[in-house]
Amino acid sequence: MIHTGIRAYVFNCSYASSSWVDDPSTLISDLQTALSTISSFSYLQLKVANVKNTIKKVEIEIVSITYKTKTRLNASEIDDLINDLNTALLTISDLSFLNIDICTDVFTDTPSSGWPSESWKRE
Amino acid sequence: MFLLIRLLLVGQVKVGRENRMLVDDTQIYVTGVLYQQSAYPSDVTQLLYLIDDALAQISELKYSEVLINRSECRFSNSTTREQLLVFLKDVSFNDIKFLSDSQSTSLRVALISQLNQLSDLEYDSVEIRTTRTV
Repeated sequence: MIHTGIRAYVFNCSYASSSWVDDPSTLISDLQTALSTISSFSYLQLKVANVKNTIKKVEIEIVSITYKTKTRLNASEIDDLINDLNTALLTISDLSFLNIDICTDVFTDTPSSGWPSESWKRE
Repeated sequence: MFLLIRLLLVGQVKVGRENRMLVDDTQIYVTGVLYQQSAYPSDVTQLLYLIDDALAQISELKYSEVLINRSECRFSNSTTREQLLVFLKDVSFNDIKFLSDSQSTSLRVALISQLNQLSDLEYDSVEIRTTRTV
């Protein structure tokens, strides 16, 4: 059994000309309003992340997207989704962003044969 | 793995007139780690304890777990490289889970200060991600 999930990342955002959002409540509300205008689109979670590395940046993540009743999209549908997200997000006047990435997670009930990856944690 | 572990959530708070559930979370990533000049150290547990003990010196810092992830990454030019990542989960700083700009700077400075004292450790970057989810 294969399960899929779509995530959208909006990178290098600034909101109200700031690359750090101390209180994301207004941005979250603006995003909810903007995303509600996209037809055949739903999601489970909306995240606003402030990222501090050598530079500061704001990222938006939209998790568990369903688009046109699908949770796995072909290339053309991904282009459509990016266009719809782009159009919706541009209605938020205080928001600017550089690009939108779409990721599709694929989960299987059987062990993956992907690249080796190991993790350790302190017990 | 890197993206999957980013999906972990903690620290639920209820706010707002609609009783929406907002989730605050902070995570720390130390990327490009080399221990004793190796991204494939023979004793990962030793590295785990070393980092955990070093970060315990930052009294304002709390986290639920420190994890090390080792993966083999393939790049677009078909080269592969071992990458070692240290991940701190469910982080709070001064008991705050959603950090301000200045708080995250203070935390990052403290982390770098501690990590730089570990002579056998090298790394590329320290990244703090403080997230609010609805």
